[in-house]
Amino acid sequence: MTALLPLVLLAAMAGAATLLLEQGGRRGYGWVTGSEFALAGIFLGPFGIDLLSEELIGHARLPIALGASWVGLGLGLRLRPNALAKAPGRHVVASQLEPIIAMLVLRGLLEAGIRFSGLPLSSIAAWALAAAGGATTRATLDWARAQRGARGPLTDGLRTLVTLDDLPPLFALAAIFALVPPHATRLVSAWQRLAATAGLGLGLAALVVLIVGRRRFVPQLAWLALFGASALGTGLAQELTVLPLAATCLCGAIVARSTRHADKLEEVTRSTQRPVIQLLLLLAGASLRGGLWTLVAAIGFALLRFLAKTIAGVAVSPLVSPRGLRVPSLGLGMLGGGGIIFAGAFSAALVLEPSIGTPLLAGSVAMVLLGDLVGPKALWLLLRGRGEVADPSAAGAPP
Amino acid sequence: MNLRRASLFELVRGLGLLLVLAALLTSVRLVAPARDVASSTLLGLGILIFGGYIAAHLCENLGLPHLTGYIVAGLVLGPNTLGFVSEDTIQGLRPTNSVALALIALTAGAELSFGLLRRGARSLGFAIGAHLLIVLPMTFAALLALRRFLPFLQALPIAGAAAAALLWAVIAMSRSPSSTLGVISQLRPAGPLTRHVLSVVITMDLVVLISFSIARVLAAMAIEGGSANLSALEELGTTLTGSLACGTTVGLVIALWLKLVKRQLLLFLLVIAYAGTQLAGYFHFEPLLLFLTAGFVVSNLTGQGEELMDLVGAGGQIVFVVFFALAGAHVDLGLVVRVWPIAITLWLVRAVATVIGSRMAASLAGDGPAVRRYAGFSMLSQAGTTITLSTAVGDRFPALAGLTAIAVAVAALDELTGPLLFKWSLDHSGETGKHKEHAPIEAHA
Repeated sequence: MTALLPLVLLAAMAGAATLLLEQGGRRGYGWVTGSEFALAGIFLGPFGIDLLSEELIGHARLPIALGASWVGLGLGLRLRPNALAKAPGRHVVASQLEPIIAMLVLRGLLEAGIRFSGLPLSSIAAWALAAAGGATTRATLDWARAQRGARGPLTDGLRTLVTLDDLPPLFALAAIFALVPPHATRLVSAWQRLAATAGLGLGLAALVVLIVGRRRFVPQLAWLALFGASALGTGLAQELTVLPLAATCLCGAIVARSTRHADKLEEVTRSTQRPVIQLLLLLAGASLRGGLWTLVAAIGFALLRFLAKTIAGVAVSPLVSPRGLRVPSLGLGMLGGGGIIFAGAFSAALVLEPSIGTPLLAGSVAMVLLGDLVGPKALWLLLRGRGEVADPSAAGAPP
Repeated sequence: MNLRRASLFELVRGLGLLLVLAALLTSVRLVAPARDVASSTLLGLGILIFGGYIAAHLCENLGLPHLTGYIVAGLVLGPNTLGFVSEDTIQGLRPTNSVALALIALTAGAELSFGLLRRGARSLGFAIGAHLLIVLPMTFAALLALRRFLPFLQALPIAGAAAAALLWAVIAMSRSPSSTLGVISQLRPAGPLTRHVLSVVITMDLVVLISFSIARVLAAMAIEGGSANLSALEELGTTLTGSLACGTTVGLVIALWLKLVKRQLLLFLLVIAYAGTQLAGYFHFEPLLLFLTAGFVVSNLTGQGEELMDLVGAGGQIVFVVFFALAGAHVDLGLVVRVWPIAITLWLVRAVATVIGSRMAASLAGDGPAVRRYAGFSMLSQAGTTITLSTAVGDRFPALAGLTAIAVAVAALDELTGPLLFKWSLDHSGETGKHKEHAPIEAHA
């Protein structure tokens, strides 16, 4: 029996429990991004009862890398021209500006925090953390729309924002990965590695498009092409020392623009995205290393992120707020940590040198956990203030 | 004209895919040599998936079954030829292979129904009888006749050589449910030949399992001396009952999920397939039998067989590509070349015995002409079970290592030719919709 079996069974039981507890597919119990899995991971890992040992996590490196690439592919496929065309231009601009501002503010706050506390955090690690904290999860808004009946112009604006705001952090993460590759190759400069990421994404997209074709949609072929692209993309990216998630995301984005089956292809990845992220959260929780101070620092980072997101929200609110109405507290709707960027950060953290990987992993887990704790409540307050929650009395308390 | 243009387009598409894949692999190889086992495993998986698809696509244009394409891709890309997929990668992909086999077995079990077995019981009985009374003796005699060309048999006393021949004959009876299902999933044939072949091939797995255990006891007595050690039969009993019981439980769990949860079905099946295979390995159960039973239970006791087959069908292409490309990667052409005269002789005898036996069985059972003419040609594939049994012989009786090599070489030949002949048979029996002039054959049955 292989060492991975207990892990698979555990993940299966956790997944089954989640599915049974969910109400008609909407997360009625548990947290919106599923960060209870991260908590379970922490409990089962070295910080807790040590059931998920370091050796076991080592065995799981392959599914982790593959899972992150799969999530990246889904993000790319989300960028379909027909979906983007429906969103107002200013919302799209805001969706790219907001994470950039959040990352810059967070980087500044981290710099100040490092100076104040004297933590031995390198500049590149601070950038990596800022990148991981830049994005927002879509799950919080999905929860508000499905569970609380949120409808209205602000909800629509936020929807565009949280759908597209993964891109700048992803690009930043890819650039950081290119700057500090885990092992040496003949690609000596970061630019060469970024170019290799683009080339790989293009090549994978060509394979997928040639298989899926423009004719009748065949689900079996879609699965084959997408799964094959994830596996091949991850393998090749690891050899080229580029971020696999960035390559598959680019592949997905090109495929979304090159085939008329993009909607159905996205459906293939969307249907599996949540369990994949949940499994990654479980493993990430169990992979946490370092002492108690690492956890405290990670929580500090998550709190700084809230501040950065709030500031970024203020900055872009003129672009997102309904006409004639300023919503300076827009950042409240974007406190949930991005699951996709978390997946990228986690897979990167496992291969990057520990001085970057350890804080990146701890920070990402804390960001998702605290984001899930605070994010839904904050969003609910924001939307209630604007009257976009359908029935405030029925809404009761948020999760 | 349009048809020709469409074929040309498909050919260009296949070549385009090949070009892109080759360009990607070559450029990466230029920049970075393979370093990380984990990345090599994923890379190997990706290469086999795309390589298998491309080969299958080109095979389809040549009128060959997809399965041949997958196997050829594995053979060409594998460690014994171009080496894009190394031996380490193949070892790393063993869990993937087990999951693929489990899903194939689940589908095969779900394809079987009480009705199908009841309707074909007479034909099935005669077919199994023919295997035991014709294929087994003919292949047994063939190996004994070749004894003077085989040093490892010459070194044994006549009783030992006969025991070795018995082991070979049992292995020769084994068929490949996965190959059969692979061709069926591509061509979607319907008719008496398809039903007959499917039920015989699956049932033969059980017959071979029992026969092999008995043959192993007899071989131990003949080669190592001493009295009969019936522990092997005891093991067989545990394996069979355990596999059936565990398979039933797994089937009920799948049915419950399909009924109550109805979500994340594919992921659930993957987990079940992986966990079931690992548990089967731990308890020494037979994974193929376990998942066949599970599929059978879902299909016949819960009425959710269609749903299960649709579900596996969604990821079916990946499952078949991975499984058969890996099987192709395992084929050691060097070995086949080394023992080719013996291997080809035994391969021919097995094929002839199967065709004669199937024809006689069909005649006696009163089957229609499609089954009578083509059943034998449709059941020549060998794959996983054969290789597992052959390896088990070498492990248990080191003196018979040569037999393992020969049996694996014969299996390699069957692996390459079996799907071709099955497709040819289905086409000519009119069950794939091609060769309409043979349509009356279907009508007869």
